[in-house]
Amino acid sequence: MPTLHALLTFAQRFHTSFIFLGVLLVAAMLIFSDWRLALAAFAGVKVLAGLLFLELMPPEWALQQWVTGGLVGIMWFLAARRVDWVRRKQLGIPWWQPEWRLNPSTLMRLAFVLLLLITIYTTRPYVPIPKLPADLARYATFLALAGLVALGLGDRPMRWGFGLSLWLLASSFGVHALQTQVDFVGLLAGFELLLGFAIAYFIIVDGARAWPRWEEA
Amino acid sequence: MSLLGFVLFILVALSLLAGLLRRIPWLAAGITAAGLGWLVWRLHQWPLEGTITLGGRTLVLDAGRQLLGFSFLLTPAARAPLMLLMIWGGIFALVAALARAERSFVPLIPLLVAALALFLSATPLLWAPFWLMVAAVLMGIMAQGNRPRPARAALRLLLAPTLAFPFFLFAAWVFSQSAIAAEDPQLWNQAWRALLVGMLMLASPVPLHGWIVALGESASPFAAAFLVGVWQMAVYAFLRHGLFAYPTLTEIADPGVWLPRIAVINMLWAGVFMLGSQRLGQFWGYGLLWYYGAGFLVWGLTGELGGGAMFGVFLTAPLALTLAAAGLQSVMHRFGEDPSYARLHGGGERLPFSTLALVGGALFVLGWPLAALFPWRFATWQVASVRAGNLFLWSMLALGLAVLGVVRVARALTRPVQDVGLPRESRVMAWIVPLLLLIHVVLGLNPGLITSLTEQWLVWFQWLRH
Repeated sequence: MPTLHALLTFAQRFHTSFIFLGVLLVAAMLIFSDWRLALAAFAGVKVLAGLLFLELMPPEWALQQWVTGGLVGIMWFLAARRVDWVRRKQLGIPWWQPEWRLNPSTLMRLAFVLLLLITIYTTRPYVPIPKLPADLARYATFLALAGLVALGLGDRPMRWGFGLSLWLLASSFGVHALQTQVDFVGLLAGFELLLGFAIAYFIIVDGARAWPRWEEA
Repeated sequence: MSLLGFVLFILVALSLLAGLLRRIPWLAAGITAAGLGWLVWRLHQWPLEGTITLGGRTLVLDAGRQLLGFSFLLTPAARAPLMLLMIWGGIFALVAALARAERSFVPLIPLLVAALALFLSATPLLWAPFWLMVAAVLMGIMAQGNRPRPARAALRLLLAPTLAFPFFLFAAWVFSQSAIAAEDPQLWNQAWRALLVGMLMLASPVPLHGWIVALGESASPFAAAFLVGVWQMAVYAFLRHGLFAYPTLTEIADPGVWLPRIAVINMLWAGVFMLGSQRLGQFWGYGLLWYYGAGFLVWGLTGELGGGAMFGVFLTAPLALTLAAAGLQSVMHRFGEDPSYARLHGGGERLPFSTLALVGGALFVLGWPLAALFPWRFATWQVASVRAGNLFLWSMLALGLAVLGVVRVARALTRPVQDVGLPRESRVMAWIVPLLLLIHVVLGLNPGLITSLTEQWLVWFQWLRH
């Protein structure tokens, strides 16, 4: 059976594909109105980020993206499920019934993300950060722009969480390329966890407004 | 034990105690205010170096700590703004508990002060904004409170420090490579620009002011005023030290020019929207933006990047802000959260002290005569009229618009009663409002009471950190 090290070395061959897949997952994360699908895309982005960080730092530091992403994802999943579960229970909607809808705000998000992708494809914006390989610098620039777009797409806590996480991820590429220190890896991961916790709290208190009888919950 | 460790321990203990006693709000607030007051008194008394013994333990006053690449030391430069933060915390805790603000507000005050203490005492200076991000998360939780409400304000609070942090890190890395200035001058210049952008984001002037207005509309009045005030103090302390530690920044963009401009733009923007507001929360948000902008005017015009005048403003502002917030809290308690002006019939008749507090407090924030803030505002207008005539005229226009906005609120509140079932205000307001007004008059007539207190703090504040 191959070791983790061998698997990671093998995975590094697909570096370019990971960047392309990462762009698609970020776009999906911003467009989907269903929080489950968006959260699954977020998990995918963090897994790919861990693999891409292998180029900048040792595996045991790079894979903290998986740990923080996993913990943050679990917190947001539990918070969003709690909000959804109480709302469905109070309104009498079965838990399995899908509530997908193609409303104007989804179409607006779709339009903004398409505009972002077209802009990225045609202009190839690129912030040259010393010591950061060109393809990762382009990806980091895309993540930063996508984070800013996510922040502009409304005031829902999970979407803001995605936006801030993308901005932090883009910053991490630059910061870790400049100085690969375990202190910095720990600091940024610690802050991401703290941010994840706060966003999980906001998901509940903001979402509770949609409960018909929030006092009962 | 280091001094910072001791201060953090007391602050966290106060927060836990206040949290445990949150069902008895006046007791939780009393303990918090007493604890913070005691800390301010001790920090004022203790020397800057050496050791002291307290309760059988030895405190090393000039000892630092190393953690995660940071070096923490409660220098005199950090001690002065920290004491201001504690004074704000004490005043807000007491008045908020008496005015029946949310229970979650008081326990979070010492915790937020502790996070800002880390921010103020962390070196290297350009890494310190990391702790501001941590503080912003706590600020978001304080803004959200413990009831379902839109998370807009809390989310926007996270924006400035999170977006600004990478710019500081990039600048810190470039400045730490001494050879880069000669080898790659373009990268060197980019680092200065990055530092300037980071500082501008932290200062969050118009159009980055969204969090202030959102706080007014979504958070409780006390939380909104407290968060705007402590943010401005912490950022002022950081930016002032940054501008002195990196004087090249002042050559790239002279703060004596851009700070007053930012101030006037903020104040004009706030004045226009205070006058045009249709809801009380909106009015409060833009009122706080006006206060925030006026801070830049004091900072930019009064020499040496503020200093004495800023300390005067910071020491007296919580009295005006808590007065207005107490009135607003009481009015919102009767008319619902963020009521429109059209619904405020009978406020003046049924809630006379609350109306007086709201209107008087708002005017006092603007610098009305006989208020504690008046001497500092008046001194700033005088400097502006002598040094920058155009800016003075624009700031007078902003002041006029804001006063008209307050007059609109007063008119809305003094219309006759429509709902005969409108409950009267709490009797506590009859104690809080005259007491705060009395303190205002005393400090307004004797500004020397403040200056004698701040002389020593100002000397401490002017120490540099790197």
